[in-house]
Amino acid sequence: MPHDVDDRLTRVFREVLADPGLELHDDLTAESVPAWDSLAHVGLMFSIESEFGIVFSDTEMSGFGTVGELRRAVERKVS
Amino acid sequence: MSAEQARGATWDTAAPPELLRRAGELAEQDPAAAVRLLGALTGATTELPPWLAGARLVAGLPAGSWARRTVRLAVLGSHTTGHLVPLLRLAAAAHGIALDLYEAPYGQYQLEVLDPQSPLHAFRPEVVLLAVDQREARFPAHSATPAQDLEAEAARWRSLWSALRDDLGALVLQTTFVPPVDDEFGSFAVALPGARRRQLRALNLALGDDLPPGVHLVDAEAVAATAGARTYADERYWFLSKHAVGLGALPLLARAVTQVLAAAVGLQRKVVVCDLDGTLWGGVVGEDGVGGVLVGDGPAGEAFQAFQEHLRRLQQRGVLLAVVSKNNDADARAPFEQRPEMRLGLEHFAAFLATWEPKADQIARLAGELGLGLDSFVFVDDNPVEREQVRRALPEVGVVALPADPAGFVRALAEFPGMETASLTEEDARRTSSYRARAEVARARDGAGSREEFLAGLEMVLTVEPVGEDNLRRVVQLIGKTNQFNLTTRRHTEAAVRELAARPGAVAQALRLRDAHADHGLIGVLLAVPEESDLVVDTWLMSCRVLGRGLEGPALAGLLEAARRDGRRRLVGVHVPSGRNEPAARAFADAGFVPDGAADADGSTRWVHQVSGDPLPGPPVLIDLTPVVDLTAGAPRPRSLEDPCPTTSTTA
Repeated sequence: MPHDVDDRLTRVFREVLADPGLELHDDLTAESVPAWDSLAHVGLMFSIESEFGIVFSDTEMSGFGTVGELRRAVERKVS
Repeated sequence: MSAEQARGATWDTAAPPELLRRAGELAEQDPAAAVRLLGALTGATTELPPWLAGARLVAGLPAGSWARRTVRLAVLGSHTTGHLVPLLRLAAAAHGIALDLYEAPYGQYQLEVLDPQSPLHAFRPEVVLLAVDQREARFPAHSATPAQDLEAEAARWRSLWSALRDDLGALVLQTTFVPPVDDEFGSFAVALPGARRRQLRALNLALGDDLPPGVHLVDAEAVAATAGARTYADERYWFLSKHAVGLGALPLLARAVTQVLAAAVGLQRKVVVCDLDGTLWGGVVGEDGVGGVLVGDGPAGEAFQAFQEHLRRLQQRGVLLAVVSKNNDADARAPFEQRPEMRLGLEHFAAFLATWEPKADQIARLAGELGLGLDSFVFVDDNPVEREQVRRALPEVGVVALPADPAGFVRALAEFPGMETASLTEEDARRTSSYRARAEVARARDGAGSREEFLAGLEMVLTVEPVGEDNLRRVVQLIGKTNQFNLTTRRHTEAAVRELAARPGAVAQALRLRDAHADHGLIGVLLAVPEESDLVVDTWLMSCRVLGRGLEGPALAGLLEAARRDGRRRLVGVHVPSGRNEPAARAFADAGFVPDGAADADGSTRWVHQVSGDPLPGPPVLIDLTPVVDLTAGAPRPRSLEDPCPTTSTTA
């Protein structure tokens, strides 16, 4: 299951950020990925919600500091 | 033509990821084919991620390699439009439109419009999209004076439109207001005068009433209904990032906007070519017999009837219908003649071709007979093999991917790019008879005597009238969409026509033609401006419906008369090659003009005719100049153009 989440998250990130070589790791932040600007972030949130059929809270949507936090939130919601 | 053909791909049945992958592969070697795949993508899905990926692909293609037309579009939003803008690029590509885009900063639309120094003005858009949401409508939750509030709000938006039209000369598209789902009144708001929900709906209709030429509404309420109201307005994304339109609804909104855009710039489809067996009825008439085909009995039969009714309403709207069927002619006609359940009759078709030839050949010949470009055509056939063959042989033709179930036919055709319209004129409704006459004339020409005898037998009457309020809409429509017989292809807006016509000594004329077969309506436009002792033709175009009749000389009779009246010495004209107006290259020569020097580097040629010289040549045509010449007669004359709208600094 965790692997499944990782794969699907990676695919969404690659699609939305148009970066087919992007590798996700838990310490990755928006600042370190040039295409991950505030507009792309909204597209990411929407696409991740659609992909997993989940809903982030208002606070979560603007509050994820790292990919690790995001991944754990997704895993919590899909389990 | 390309790898995609070699692979035997059927676009219809490919899933979005496959369409994207193939489009990506083709992007370099065959951008036009890649764009066609991406156009199919916009019909196959409304999911955001594939749309964003498709939009990125389009942005990387050189427009010159695939676009029918490039449009400079400015997007002015009251909300975040950062996702809408790239999606518009993809949706426009499905129409063959390449967009040069300007996106105004979020929420600054009024400033951008009103400040002549703004980046919007510097961008000089041809079209402006006002993407405004209901929060911008200045209505209280419950108005005490609903009628006054409504009128004031409508006037406020109209004044914004005038600023855009007069100062920028741009076409205006505005999204309608979508009332929020959750309010304090709920359904009671419908019955409560002054309730905000009711006021917003009334405002949409009030703006639609009396819409000025050059302004078009995009029915965002219909988009919200299609997407689902809570998908359209997802409050969480408003709070997060000021996305007033939810990301899940944006592909549908982009589709709706570009349908209106395409119609507004004259790129709508004009002819629907239908197959018969399996498309207009169930079964095969040649095998099942006229009594055996399925129409109007049971769910599938009723679905075929509904599709026929949709086609008939399109025909009444001005779209031409044609049949191209592999059948014996008598078999093909029999259901129309004998089955009372049929909703279409033979009289609804401008052409009826039932033979065993390849359909692409039949469509190409039909385009010649009707005098229309192949990109005006949409092909509707239930058979994926026929669709694929037409797609490959005639890539300009729009091919509708019909679903397996006839209940989905109406939707597939209605959603197809280019199937909306932005205006109705009397000419639209008259078109079928005119084109049918043209097709008959084309056939008669094959068998009947000399060209001169043939033209004389047409008993043509050409009427020259001034461009005025009564014909301005049609004139601007023709200027926007005429490609073949268009000497300069200057796409003047309505404001520009008004400005030009108001110049001292300028001549603006519209041409009407009727003959023994049909009244063709308004078929030509002439705009000319004085330069010293010359009268110079700025714009000369004629509808392709009336080409090949030797009307070049007669068409200029009114201009010549005006030049004579005003004491001009010469009539001067120019042909500027556009890549599509080759049919007009010899227009001035055919009208008796002589070349004035050699061609320019861009291939433009200049032509002159002495006003005191020979009369202009042409076939027997009765030319009626009374509307432009007979100033003393008591007959009612068309209303002339009002003074051009007051404009900014440049007018004298």
